[in-house]
Amino acid sequence: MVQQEEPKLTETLPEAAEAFITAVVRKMRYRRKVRQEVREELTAHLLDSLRDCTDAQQRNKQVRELLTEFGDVKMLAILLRRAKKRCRPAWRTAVVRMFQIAAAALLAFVLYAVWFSMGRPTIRTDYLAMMNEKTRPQVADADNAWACYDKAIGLFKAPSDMIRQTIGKDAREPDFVRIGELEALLAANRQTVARYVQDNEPRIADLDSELKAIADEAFARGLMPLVAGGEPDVPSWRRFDKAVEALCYRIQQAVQQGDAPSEPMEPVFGGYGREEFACDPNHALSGRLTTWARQKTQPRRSAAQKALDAAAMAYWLDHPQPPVDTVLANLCPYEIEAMERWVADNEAAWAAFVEGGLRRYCYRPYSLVDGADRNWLMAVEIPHLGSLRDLARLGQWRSRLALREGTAGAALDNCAAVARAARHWQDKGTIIEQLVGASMARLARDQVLEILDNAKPSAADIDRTTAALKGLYDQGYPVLDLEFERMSLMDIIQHVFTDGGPGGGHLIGQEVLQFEHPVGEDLVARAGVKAAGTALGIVHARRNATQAMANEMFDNAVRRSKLTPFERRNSGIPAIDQLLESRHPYRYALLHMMLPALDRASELAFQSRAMHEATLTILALQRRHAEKGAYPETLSVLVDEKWLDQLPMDPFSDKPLVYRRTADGFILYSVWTDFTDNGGTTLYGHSGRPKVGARDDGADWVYWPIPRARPVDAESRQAYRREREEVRLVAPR
Amino acid sequence: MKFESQLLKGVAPVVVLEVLSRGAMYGYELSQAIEQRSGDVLTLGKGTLYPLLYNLEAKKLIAGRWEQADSGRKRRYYSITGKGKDELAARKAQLKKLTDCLNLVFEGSLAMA
Repeated sequence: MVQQEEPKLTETLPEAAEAFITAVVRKMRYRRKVRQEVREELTAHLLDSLRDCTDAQQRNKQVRELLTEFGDVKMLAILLRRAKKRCRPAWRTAVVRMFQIAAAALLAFVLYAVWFSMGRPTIRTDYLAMMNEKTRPQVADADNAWACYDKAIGLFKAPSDMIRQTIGKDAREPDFVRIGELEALLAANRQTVARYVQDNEPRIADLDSELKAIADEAFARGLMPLVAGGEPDVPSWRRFDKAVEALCYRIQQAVQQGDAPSEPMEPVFGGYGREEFACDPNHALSGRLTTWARQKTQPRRSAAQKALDAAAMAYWLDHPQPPVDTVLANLCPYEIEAMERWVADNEAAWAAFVEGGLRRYCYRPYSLVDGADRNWLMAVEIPHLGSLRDLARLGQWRSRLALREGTAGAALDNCAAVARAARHWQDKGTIIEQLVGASMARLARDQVLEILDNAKPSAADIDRTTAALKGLYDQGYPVLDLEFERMSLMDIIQHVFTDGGPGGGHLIGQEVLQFEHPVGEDLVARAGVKAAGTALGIVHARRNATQAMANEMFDNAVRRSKLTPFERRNSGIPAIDQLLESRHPYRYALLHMMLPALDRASELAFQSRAMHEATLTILALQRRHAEKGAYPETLSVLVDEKWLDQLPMDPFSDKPLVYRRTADGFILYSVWTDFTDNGGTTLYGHSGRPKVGARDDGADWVYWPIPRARPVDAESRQAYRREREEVRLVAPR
Repeated sequence: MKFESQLLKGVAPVVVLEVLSRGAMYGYELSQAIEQRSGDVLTLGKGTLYPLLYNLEAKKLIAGRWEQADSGRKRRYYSITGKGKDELAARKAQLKKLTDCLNLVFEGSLAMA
């Protein structure tokens, strides 16, 4: 190839000379133009040397001598190249040097990156063992509640999907709020529905006996098989009036669109007896309806559907049900039956749970989840939380059912049992455990307030509940404990940094990216993660700096966790998110990714404390009212009269919770997150539900009277539907 | 008579500059001129000549240019530059000084040998 690039000699040289020059020029390995000049110059020299040769023999001899004088080809080429390089202009030298430096830097970088990507962590500390040792109380095992909870969890019979759908609802935010809208719709459409019923009376009469029997039984049970094709955001099983509600919406829409009012429901109720309706496969009625629906041919079904619609509406016209907003009242008899069965099935589990709550402490050693890829705190197993929460909900529903039977004392005792169990999870361990503890405590307090609002417990019942709740926190209400989270982060650092070298070690970026975005066995994705991880490792702060920053953040978080939200505002101690904002997202990527919202979580402990004190205060107020027939003018009276040990403090003002007498009782509230007394204002969403706990400006957290859903106007209703529609557009179905 | 290569190496640039100070020459012509002027005593190896010329050119002591002879052959002619002349003068003064010193050391026996 090189030879082809060389220009041909213009004059004839002996073959040996020409080969010599070609070899020299080739070995120069320099710019083509320069090599051409050298070739021409050497050629001229040799031709001049041979000029005087008279015959071939002399010429060949002369060539051999000349080549001998020129010496070694390689050495000559090196000397020529070196000399020619010195001749090049300064700018060319500068450019070459620049490229050389860039190439060297690139090579060094590649080697550095390879070295980076080869880094492996060194595990020195078993944080799991350390955490277990640290949280283990130095008291007798017999006082450990975990054995009871473990037994309760083992005995616990998980709720069916239907029950879970019900128990998952907040008592104050029932899904049935739309029933409140029903009244207006019924009034507006009563005539239309009546006309439809009238038009379809012959069809009702023609219903076959089997279906008629099923329908009658369904209506009597409060069930209505008008399910599929209704409003998409309502549960697929419902009581009768909710089916009518959906029907009324459709009628209203049809009327607005100018359709014939007597036939609006055909496209609406397209499917009877689907699996959705068969919420309990063991229930004979559901099964029969489902079987019936599957067996019918389409034409016959259509006629039967119409007849059934009409029958349903006729039933509704004869049995109007007023809207209500307490949870139990919204359950149909079948649902209450199912709930009672679930409660009865869990008597043994509940007994163990209650016994656990009476123990002094709860210690459960952390262990790794099955198949954990490494021994670190990130992989600790906490599967008990879901069951504990369900047990707390079981207690809440036990309380509701007890209240339904008129035993307010038993209802309150169930709440106290849940509160006692909640206490065990509130002051140590993972943030999730502590937050679950707080949510269980809230569940108990919410239910206590519901009982006070819906029943009149005896003085003894109130005293017993007060004593139970007061005794829970005799060492002070716990603040959020962050030790597990700190150790967990240190453990992560130990696993994703190398140990030793400049800065104490560097981040193994792919480790971080892998557990943020696992890529599995996909080789291309793995290579991508490795490259991105190496780049992240290069720019990321070193191990010592990361550890120091993490510790600084946790130190601040711990200091802030002991301050009320009101104190935090002027404490000058930056929150973690403030500190993180001032740190580069890549340089401290690990902390940006791994640090939870500790500030908000630790604020929850104060919210929980305020609610605890508010509950005690409301109990005291009711107790005094039962005793003296009146609420006091100020809370100080409660303390003076020994109904209350101390004034309930608002962590958002560092003053007592706001209390006022009202015409029909009293109001008690926290000024909440805007730190401003808005006069006890509850904000409401477009649905008419109270936005309890929303951090909007202008809102207070009103503990009493319990904020309830309220009727909304047409504009709000439209806005609510738009909101739901938007949610449906973005949420996976 | 042949000189030690190291001895010759130091004076070769001066010799080349001196010869070129009398007129531009191409490589072969230059080597012939040096041999003739030194009575065939100073002979620059051909493998040394061109690297030496290129080095002197890099230092801007000589300048090269391509010319076409009547025969049509292209040759590269080298001529001494102003800087080369200054360098030559300086090196010649050094050589003279060196020769004087050597004569003193050898008490004139160098001149007689």
